[in-house]
Amino acid sequence: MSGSESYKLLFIGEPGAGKTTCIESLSDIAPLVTDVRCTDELARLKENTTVAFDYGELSLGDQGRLLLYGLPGQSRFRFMFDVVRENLLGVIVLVDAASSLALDGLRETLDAYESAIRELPCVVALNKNGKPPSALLEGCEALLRERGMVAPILVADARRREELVRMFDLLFMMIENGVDPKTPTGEATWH
Amino acid sequence: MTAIPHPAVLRIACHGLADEEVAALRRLLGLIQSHLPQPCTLAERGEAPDVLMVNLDTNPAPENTGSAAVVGCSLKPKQHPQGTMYRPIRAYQLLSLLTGFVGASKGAPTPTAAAPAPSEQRPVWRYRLRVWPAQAMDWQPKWWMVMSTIRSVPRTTEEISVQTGVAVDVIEQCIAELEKLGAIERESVQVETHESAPTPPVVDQRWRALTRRVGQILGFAR
Repeated sequence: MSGSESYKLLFIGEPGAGKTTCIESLSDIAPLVTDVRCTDELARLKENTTVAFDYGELSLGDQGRLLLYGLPGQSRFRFMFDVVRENLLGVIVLVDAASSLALDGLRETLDAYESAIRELPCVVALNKNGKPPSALLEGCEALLRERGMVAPILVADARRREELVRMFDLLFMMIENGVDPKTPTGEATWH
Repeated sequence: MTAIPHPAVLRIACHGLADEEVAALRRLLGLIQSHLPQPCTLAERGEAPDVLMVNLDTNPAPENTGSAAVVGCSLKPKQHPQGTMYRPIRAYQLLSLLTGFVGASKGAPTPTAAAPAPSEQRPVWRYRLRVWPAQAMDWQPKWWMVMSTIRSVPRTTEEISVQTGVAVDVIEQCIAELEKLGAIERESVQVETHESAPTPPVVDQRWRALTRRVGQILGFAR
């Protein structure tokens, strides 16, 4: 493993799910943020929204860099996934648990990124300060189950670094243990 | 199992094992090394071993074993005293054995390391996670590791143990809980238990190293 290698992690979610906040918390460079002022009905929820992707980096010293990408969950932005898919290690799906449309947003994200979520190590994080309603947790679990997707669902406040660390702990547990043993050496295949 | 002093490196010698079995043992030690609580290696010629593995199919245990703890292994371990391991050596038994030795030498309860090998009639199952239950967020991280390992690749308890370093009895507890919740499916594997052990899974050290590095930076080092 050389210092020039880079690996990618992807945050996906609806507007307001917390992608930008996560990347800002973890990146050790000034993150690239493609936020613009909202001009549609989204303006009622938040002032700015991401229109391309967020980008940050975490230096791993002699083991390279971890590139952090944030992509919108809406299907119309799905094409951008092809830009980041090479060397992608895992996905964190963010859900704005405070939104009344949280399940609709998750449904769209799961459908738009179905193959990536199925194939890659993945964690679903309900971004909320405090305990979300149990109906939301059950709804998220049902959406995953209906699609045959297996991923842990956890509650985290994206503004709190220790909660992001917990997300990463779980995700890297899956990265570490998710390689198919039948895969030829050097060619990791995620399932 | 005899409690032994706690050497810096646990040295293992073999008695009556074929060269290829010793070579396989050396490879297994390499594979499970990162899961062991202390370094374990094969003793070089002339070095006093801490553990002596004896092939009971061809040799009785030698009379003078010094301070080494003797562990028998056999193609048919049920025909020998309790604690006899399978021959060829299986990764999960070796992992449990060596973890147990270190635990015993540190005063921990006697481990289940050299527990009797599974019955030849016992079915071997591969498990695959169907859903990651919401209750799991309150479970111990070792169970998360087990679940991570079978998230999409079906694996036996032995394979999970080699991949994660989690003891087989802990894996079985986790699987029992997942079965209660209907969160796991299983398929039967045809393994003749007296034949050669299945090839242990390849533990990809690249991802382990990467995880360790990210953990050091963010603070979740395991």
